[in-house]
Amino acid sequence: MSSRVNWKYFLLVVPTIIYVLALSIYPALSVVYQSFQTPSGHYTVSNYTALGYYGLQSALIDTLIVSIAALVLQLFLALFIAMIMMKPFKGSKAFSTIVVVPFGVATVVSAFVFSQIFSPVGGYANSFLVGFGLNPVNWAGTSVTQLGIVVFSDYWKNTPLVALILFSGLSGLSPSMFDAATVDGAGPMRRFLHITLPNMAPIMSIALLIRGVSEFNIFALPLVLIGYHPPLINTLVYEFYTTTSGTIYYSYAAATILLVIIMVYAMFVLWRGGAKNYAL
Amino acid sequence: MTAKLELVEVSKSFRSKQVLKKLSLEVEDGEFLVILGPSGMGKSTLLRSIVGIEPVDGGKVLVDGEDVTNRPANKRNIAMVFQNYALYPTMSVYKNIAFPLKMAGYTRDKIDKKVREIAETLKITEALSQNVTTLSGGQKQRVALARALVRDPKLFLLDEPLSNLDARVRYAARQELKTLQRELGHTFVYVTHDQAEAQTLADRVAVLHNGNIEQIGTYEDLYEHPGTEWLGDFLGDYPMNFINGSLVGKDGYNVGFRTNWISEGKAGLKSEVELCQATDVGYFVSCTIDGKPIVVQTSRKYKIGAEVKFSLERFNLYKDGKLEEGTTE
Amino acid sequence: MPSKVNYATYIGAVLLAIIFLYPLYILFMITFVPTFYTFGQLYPPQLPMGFTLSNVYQSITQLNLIKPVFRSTIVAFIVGGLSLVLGIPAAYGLSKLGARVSNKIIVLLFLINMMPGIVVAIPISVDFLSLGLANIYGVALAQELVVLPLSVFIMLGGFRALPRDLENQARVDGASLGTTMLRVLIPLNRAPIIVAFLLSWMTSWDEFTYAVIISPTSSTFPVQLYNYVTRGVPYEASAISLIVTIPVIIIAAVLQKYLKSQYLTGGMTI
Repeated sequence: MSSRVNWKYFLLVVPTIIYVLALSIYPALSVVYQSFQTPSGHYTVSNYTALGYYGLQSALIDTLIVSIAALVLQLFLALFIAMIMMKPFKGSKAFSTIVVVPFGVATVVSAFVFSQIFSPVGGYANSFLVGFGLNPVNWAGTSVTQLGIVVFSDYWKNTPLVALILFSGLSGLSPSMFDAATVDGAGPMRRFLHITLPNMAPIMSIALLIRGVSEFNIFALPLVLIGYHPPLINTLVYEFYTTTSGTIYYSYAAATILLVIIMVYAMFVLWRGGAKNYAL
Repeated sequence: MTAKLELVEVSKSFRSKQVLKKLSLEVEDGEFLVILGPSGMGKSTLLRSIVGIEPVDGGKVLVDGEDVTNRPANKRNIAMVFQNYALYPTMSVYKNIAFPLKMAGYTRDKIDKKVREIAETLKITEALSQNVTTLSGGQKQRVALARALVRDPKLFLLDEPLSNLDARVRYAARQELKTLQRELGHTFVYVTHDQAEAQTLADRVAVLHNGNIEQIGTYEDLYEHPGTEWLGDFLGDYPMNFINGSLVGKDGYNVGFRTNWISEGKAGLKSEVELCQATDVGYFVSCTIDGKPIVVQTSRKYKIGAEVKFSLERFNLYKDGKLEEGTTE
Repeated sequence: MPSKVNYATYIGAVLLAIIFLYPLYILFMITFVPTFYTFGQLYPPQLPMGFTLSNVYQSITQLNLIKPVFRSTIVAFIVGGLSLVLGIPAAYGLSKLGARVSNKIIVLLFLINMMPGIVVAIPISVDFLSLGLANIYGVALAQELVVLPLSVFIMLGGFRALPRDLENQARVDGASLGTTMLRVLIPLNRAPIIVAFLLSWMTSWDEFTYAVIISPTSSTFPVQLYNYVTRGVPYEASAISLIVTIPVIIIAAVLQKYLKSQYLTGGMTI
């Protein structure tokens, strides 16, 4: 075939491209534009300056902490799951069903279940602690415990996807490479460090990209689990949006900041992970 | 450092399929043993059991008289070259070769010295800093060899190491491998389905069939006097011809003969030529005798449909599929 | 030694299985165990102390359950269907465009897909209001944005894997492009198409951000559930949670064989 692209086939893709562009670029531009507007239609930066007063900085930092902590937790769990899924053992089918199935559980349902587990009164986490003779924890008591339960609760719904991505990466590696390492004298730990991790780096960066972005957009889970306090970016935006009409412009400003952060992050991971890893 | 390898009644099953059935085998110190067999007969499983990646269900693996059956693969000091080389794609050639030494806890200086030595021997010094994914097939095979040889293993196992090479490269690599083994004096156990490799490389050939060693010996020995009809059929470019003994006055036996064990033109056996194939060493004539397909080597060309006559110069006698008596030249 | 490795594998597998089953187990417990043993205790027992259907009964009779679940179902089918209507031609077209062009388009779609939901949802909620789309249909249109790139990607992998000669053969045999698609390409590519549909369906079933912002009233069940939870009717909420979870758990279990293969990373090479 010649290098000339047959543009007839491009026409088939056009509706999808238009759909996606129209529903994303246009709203994004309008958010950015309106974030510099007053309710009466004048140009202003006061929407941004006001955000400081409403605790934007701490919301940013908290979102960052929650995202990183949740990513690390999920990556570790997922790596273990993927490695166990690779092993042939009796019950491996049941195992992979059990760990994959939460992928289908709705975020709100997951959040509801964990709100019951971490409820200060009648919570199952505390009944566990008390059962082992430890002191119960008032999970809603401090920002640290509140953010902690958000990080923890996120594993259920979101680890399966990471595990599936890592599994498909692991199954792409040649098994004889691991055999060779064993013969070369490497035990399980050193096989993991010298063979598994370096070979999995590209696919792990894919998982980081996909999950990192949605982690930063975490919304329904904290909304159900801890409400608006301490605020994360999305809950802050939503709070501005739902309360009074005057603050909707604050929500535009906060959303713009979120947009910029996500774009920077995506560029960073694409650049660090090497664009070639995404078959570009 | 070299070693003697002994397998005593080694068994291995996958689910209900028994791949190795109480297989026993002795490999002498410094010997080049080729394990030959059709695909899917458990050749690789045998190697993997020796090296320890595949646990055996029963029997013993002895290295220099020491029982290593329950020792993990990373502690056996047996080296292995895998069919697809299994190089580590994230490491350079140098790091690949250095890996077993690093695992054995050698110092940096010693690792460097040994890696460069072996690279010199295998003529891959130039490639040391390269990424293994950029290497040619032949180079990859050398790196895999270097990685296996670098730590002076007691035993050296090779799983069809030449099968992924182009025909030409393979031929050269075969010769090099033989020279290398003779110089180093290591014990080699080499698995292949390629009879030409067995012919060139082996001190002795062990033929694997149905989970056991069908026969072990020099290639010539196996070729001339295959212990079973199956082996006669399996070994050689052309399978051994088998006819009913009554046709040549050997009632009660099956008579086996190679294509060139005949004398052409003399009365005895005759048949109609079905195919006459010209080769470097003469003509190969296919015909049917007593319902059995026969191929004989002739010095002149026959037309299809003509009559070919020959008598047997020598033959082996088989009863119930087993060799009873063999004649020699 | 090998038995020791298996031992470690089993311990790991069992521990992880417990971690992943526990929340589901709790959901079952707070649904089917009398509230006296669950919400009624300061430190509720970890084991079921009784069985009752009254929680389920109460939530069905007292809460408006059926309508939001019904609306969610409609939305999920619209989103899944739209994924195929838009996605199949796009995936087929991309498979014909050659890797250089098509990969660029796919990456563009995925990059846009990273756009935070709330950034898109807030401005379009205003526009949808004036367009009369501040309802579940508007929600479906917005959710489609989330699922379309992945759907196209999954189906693209399928179309790329089909032998080119098959299509040529159909064309030589006199079939038009449309007939070739319907009779040859789509049937052969049905596994990725089904996977794309079910993933879209599941994503929509789960989606909250667009639903709550575009259609805050008479919305899909995640929004309704959120309202119940914040209103403080937990055991009724547990029943609706369980009911809506069962179908997706079944879908996820059926899908896992496909999810485990290359569909998620599809055309990506490492």
